[in-house]
Amino acid sequence: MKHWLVLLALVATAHAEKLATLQIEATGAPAITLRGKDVRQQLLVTGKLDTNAERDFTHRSSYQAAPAGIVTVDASGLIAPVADGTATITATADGVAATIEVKVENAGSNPPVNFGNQIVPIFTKATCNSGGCHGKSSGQNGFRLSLLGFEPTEDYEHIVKEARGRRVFPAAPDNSLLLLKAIGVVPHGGGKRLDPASDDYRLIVRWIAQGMPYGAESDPKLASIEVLPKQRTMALGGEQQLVVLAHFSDGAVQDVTRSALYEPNDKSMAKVEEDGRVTLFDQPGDVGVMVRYQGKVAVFRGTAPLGAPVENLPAPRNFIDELVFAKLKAMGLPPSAPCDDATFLRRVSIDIAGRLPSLEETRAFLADAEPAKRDKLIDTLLASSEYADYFANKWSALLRNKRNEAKDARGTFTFHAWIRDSLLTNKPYDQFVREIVAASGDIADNPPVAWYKQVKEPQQQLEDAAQLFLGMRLQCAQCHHHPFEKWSQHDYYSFAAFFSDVGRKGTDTIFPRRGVATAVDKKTKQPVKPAGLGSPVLEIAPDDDPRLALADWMTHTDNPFFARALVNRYWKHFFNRGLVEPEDDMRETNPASNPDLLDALAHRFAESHYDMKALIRDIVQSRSYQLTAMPNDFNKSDRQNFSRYYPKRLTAEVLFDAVNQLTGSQSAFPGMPVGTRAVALPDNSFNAGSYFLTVFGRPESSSACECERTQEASLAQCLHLLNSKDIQDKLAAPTGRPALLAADNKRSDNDKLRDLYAVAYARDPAPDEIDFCKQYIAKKSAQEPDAAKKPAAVRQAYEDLVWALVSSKEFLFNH
Amino acid sequence: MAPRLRIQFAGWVALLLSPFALAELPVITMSSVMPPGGKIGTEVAVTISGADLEEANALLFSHPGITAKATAEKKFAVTIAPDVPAGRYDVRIVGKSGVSNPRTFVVGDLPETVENAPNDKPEAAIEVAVGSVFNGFVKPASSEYLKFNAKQSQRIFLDCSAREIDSKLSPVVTVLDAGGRELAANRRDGFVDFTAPADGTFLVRVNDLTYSGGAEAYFYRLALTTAPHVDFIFPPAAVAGTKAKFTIFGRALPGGAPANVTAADGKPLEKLDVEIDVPATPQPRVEGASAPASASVDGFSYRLPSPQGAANPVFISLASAPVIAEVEPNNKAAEAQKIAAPCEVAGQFFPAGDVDAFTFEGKKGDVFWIEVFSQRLGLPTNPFLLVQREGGASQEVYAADANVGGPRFNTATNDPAARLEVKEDGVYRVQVRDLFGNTRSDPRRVYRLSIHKEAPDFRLAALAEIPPKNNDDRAAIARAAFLHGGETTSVRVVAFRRDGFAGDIELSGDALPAGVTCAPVKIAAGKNEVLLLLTAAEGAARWAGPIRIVGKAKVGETEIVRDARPAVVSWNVPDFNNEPVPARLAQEFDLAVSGVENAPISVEPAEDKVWEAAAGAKLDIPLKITRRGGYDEVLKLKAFDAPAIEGLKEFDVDGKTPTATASIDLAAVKIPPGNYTIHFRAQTKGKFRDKETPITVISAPIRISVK
Repeated sequence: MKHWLVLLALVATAHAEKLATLQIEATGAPAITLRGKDVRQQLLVTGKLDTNAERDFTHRSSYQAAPAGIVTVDASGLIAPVADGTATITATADGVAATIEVKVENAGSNPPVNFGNQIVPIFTKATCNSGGCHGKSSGQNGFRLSLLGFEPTEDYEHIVKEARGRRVFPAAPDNSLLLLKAIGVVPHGGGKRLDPASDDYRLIVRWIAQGMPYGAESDPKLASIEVLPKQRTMALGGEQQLVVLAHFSDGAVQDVTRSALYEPNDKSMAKVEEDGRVTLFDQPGDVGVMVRYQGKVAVFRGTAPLGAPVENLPAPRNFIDELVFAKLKAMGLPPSAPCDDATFLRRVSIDIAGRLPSLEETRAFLADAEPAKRDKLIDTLLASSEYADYFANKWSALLRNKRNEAKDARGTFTFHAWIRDSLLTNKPYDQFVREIVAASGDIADNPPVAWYKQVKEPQQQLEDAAQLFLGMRLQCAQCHHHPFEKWSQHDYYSFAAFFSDVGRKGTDTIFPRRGVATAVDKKTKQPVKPAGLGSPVLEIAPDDDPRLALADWMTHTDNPFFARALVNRYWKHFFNRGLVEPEDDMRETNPASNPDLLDALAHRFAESHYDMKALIRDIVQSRSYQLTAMPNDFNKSDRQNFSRYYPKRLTAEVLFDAVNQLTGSQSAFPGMPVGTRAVALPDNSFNAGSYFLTVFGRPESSSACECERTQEASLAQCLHLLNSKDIQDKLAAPTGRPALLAADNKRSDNDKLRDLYAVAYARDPAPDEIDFCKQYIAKKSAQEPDAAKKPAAVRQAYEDLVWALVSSKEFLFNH
Repeated sequence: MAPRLRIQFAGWVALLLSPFALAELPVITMSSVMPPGGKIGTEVAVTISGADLEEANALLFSHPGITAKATAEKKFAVTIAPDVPAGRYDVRIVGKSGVSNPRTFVVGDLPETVENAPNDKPEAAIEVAVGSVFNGFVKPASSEYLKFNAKQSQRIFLDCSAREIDSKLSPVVTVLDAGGRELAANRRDGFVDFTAPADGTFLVRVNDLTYSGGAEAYFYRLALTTAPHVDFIFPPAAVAGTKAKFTIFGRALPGGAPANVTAADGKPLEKLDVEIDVPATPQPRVEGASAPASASVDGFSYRLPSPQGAANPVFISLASAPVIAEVEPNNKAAEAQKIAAPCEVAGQFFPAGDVDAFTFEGKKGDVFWIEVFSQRLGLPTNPFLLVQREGGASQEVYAADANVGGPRFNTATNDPAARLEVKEDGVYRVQVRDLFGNTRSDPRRVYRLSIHKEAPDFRLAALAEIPPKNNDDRAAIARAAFLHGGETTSVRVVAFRRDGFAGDIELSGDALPAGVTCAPVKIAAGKNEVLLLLTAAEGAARWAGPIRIVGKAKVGETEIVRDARPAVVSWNVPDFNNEPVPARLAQEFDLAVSGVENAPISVEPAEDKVWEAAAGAKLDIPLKITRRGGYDEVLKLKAFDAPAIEGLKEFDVDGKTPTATASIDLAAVKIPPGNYTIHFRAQTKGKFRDKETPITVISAPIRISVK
């Protein structure tokens, strides 16, 4: 209740904030110059409150330009030139004013329109060239545009020359088919895309009237785009106008706010209007808004703090806590309390070793008075072979260790064992990756060759390697410039060239062919040499395996992707949410929720010589990891600041093993020793015979994406736990835990129930839980009139209780 | 659990008895001998398993010092004489149905024990003493446990033999502490170099890589030893008949010095210089190099003696010239080591990514063969050879992938060989590297680079093999040659042609028992194999033992004579497309003659003579058909083994007639002039020993001459 009062007080304070000063800007420069008739400029009005906080007032200001007749300013702060001259624009809000000077030049001129720089972006903004419309490779109804306008020369051909030029009509530009369709006058499958009153429409008209110039080779080219502001702390529910500036090769800067496209990385946090206005919802946190314009991308980061007082933070254990807590302070998001020993034991055993703690472990840990017992437990778990089993299970799926047919078993068992051995011996991650990427030989002799058995084509190899080891999804760039990234087709094929000398004998033997590594760029049809992403072209001698050069580039401590991709992947493993989400889509336009933390983790990982166990130790030793999952009054909706532990459903394998452990049954996977744990299975082939594993989403090892594992809940899962023969057989097995507990006459129900709770939840039952269970057993027994059948009734009661535990959230989740 | 196990065993039995294995007259086959070895100078009780074991009352060893007496059904007392050297030998079973395929029997110098109780749980681990050998097997879907005691810092080698003793087991050997924590493991070659971290009892877990198993096929020998272990020897070759110096690299070498080399398992190696008497002639089946491809390599095996027992064997090949060692640095063209061709160079693909470059002066008119021997020495390498004239064109050689033995005896190798015809005087550069060695450093990856003047030659391998019934027949059968009275059987002889040798190779049988004949055949120029036919006369006496198959060829004026190396398929494979055929070289080529049973049908020429005809004429060959009961279906005879003879249509011989005429119209079937040994074959079925048994009838060889 007290917290709610604080919260109310917070809201009240926010309303009492007063605007102190106002600043008007547009390009970051003190004055604005508009050159030409077509240019527009979005204003950005920022107010400073008496609390020193900055807020956007662009849409809350009124605008005046003096003298009149030079420019117009609309209510959204968009300036348009009218005549040459200089004017002063005044923005006024809540009685506070700010001014900026604007100079207009060449307002009457009619410079030739540049097709690529000015016309194509209109198609992009109007989604004419999207993948679902004219932008798909086959076009739409005979009219084709390059996807998202990446190929202006092709678009020009199609608009101006194709179909005998019927799409444009210079004599009467308004009668051009292109425009008639776009404004919906002539029937158009895509409906109305342009407003005849818009600037965009007028520009196309003028371009057609000019005789459809393409633009000169010497015309400036788009070099980059910039978004203003880059970052802003916003109020919950607040808004922020963005200004997007295009920088051209001649140094010119032009406003393209209305032509750019906007997309928030978390749609539950914010929306963005077409004119670049960001509106936050009421969820505290960070949101990234990706801004795209003609193949260039930029990102705005909005932060919406809750603003609650953050006090009594636990003492930071390590750099992770310092950075997590700093973020929580900045957000005004008080973290939940530290979790108790029982919760920690269960949580960390599942997260590191993929299993519940045993009864003995739970008893010993809870009884241990040693202050450093959590650290001790972490070290024990990291040294266990179960750690290797669990993480081998994770990597085996990502590395596509898939059994397609029975005779593949030798290969999949071997590769799985290699992965497991690598983890068990804590092989440095860079070496692990190097041995995979540059693998040669046959699987029996050099198991990571198995990766090449599954990942057959050079393009698959580069895409998997980029996604898995660099967190980069390059697939799009195979056919066109990556829409959300800076990567071009040239970058794609330069990366593909690393795999161009992979020789293959049969399916199981890989060797490097001698030769100069090149891949043919699908767009230019020209061979390109290998280059790391964003790195210069490498000259690799014909005798050298280009994959070694790739491994060198990837694993260099300066590589901006390699360490970050792994620490983000592992962060997600433990926290159920990546610092970047999804964990293998680490593009520039998808910023981390805590970039400093991502940097620090990556830096430390590289410094440790890619020590995976050390990374895990840092993570699970942190107080941040050891927070309880129970929300406090402030952080229930927090999903990205790690102010509490985010519970996660046990994975298929862990749950399968946990059910066996609780029910006292043993697995019987075909061909494997009885009792083999599901997390220790070598490949995907066991899914087919196990409905349990399938329904709970064990992956088939078909993809380098973690997303192949489904963690969603489904009705089928509930039904399986509730009334499948599989689970019923385990509960009712004569050698199962319920039968054994029921038959044990030496111990009290209290003790037996304590055992059950310890195995299922790693904790003692609460008094009311004990009472409830005992009453249930007594009731079942009482309901059976025949004394001889009473033991059976008690056994039934135990079965029911175990059944209830299996179906409980506390069991099904790691929390 | 129990039902599942039964299913697994049922599957195994079905495999043993599946129809493909029964598709010929029964021939005794051997699955296992347990234990598959024993200590020098002891008597060992062994149990054998296999199929068609009627009257299987003798064992035939490839060393006369090892003898056996039957003690009960499938049980023998084997005596190993004190003078039998440690090593691997072949043992075969002899019974009513001939002589079996061989199994390896290891003679060693350590005491041995045999699995005598279930040990598939850690609690049931069988104790094994350090300095002994345990013989056991792995059950399906199961792991086997052993235990041993060791003192802190005690170093023990665990050496598990499986593949090399004909087992199907792919051993995974893991050492665990008493708490079940994994301390060391090996999944590839069964060798673990273990140092005890503390006093105590340690567990050894042995399982198959894919948890397959079965007593008859998944057997193993696990030595716990402190005897020296040899990782590799350098150089890996020497000239025959000399006393040569070598350096042994290994562990616990008596008098060894630190080698400053780290093995692939991370352990430091020692080195020891030794002098070895190199035999004048190659050994028939050599430990460490018994793969089919190694049939083209001459060599011998060597075991370093020590007070703790002999070390594991290493293979040393025979070189064509004194061997010089590579000298690093020679990775770059500019650092190439100067050598004088012809020569033999020994080198090492080490560390990862190592490249070795050599240069030599070539004189116009020289013809060299440049050949790398490494994978055929039993090493997991894929040598790549680059031959360049300085400033000129290059010749890249990946591997001699040619598989002259076919899928039933796959002789393909990763070792490359190139012919260099020196067209002008100049400096020639040879560069070698291991295409498999980019990411891994393993000092065992040694090689021998032979640059020798072109000297055409050949090697042969021979295996008992009934020709496939049709194109869909992809089975491979583990068997030895066996003749009933009046029967003809076939032996496939495969030629490894060296240095471009293209001539005929004449083949004949030698040391044949009385009543068995072998018509001479030849592997014609351009061909790499032929069927050699062995025929037993009706009434030939019972016999079992080794025979020789000899090849002769003329190279210029010189006649070269080579014994065919005996070879066997180790396990039946129903379809070689689904699994590779396990095959190896054997120490002897063994033949058995029934002496009591006759072939159901014999087809032979009416007269033993050369049947002559002019090209374009008609050649009629009267045949004699002898049926001895049980088989009276029509025979569809098809002719084989002369050029163009496949054009001759198969012809029928009815079930009663004792004679037939094979009529070859040489105008239609254009067999080119020459002398040939042809034969006829037919598939038929009938009852043998009262059991429906389809068979392949092979006629006696027929010599023809087309003028």
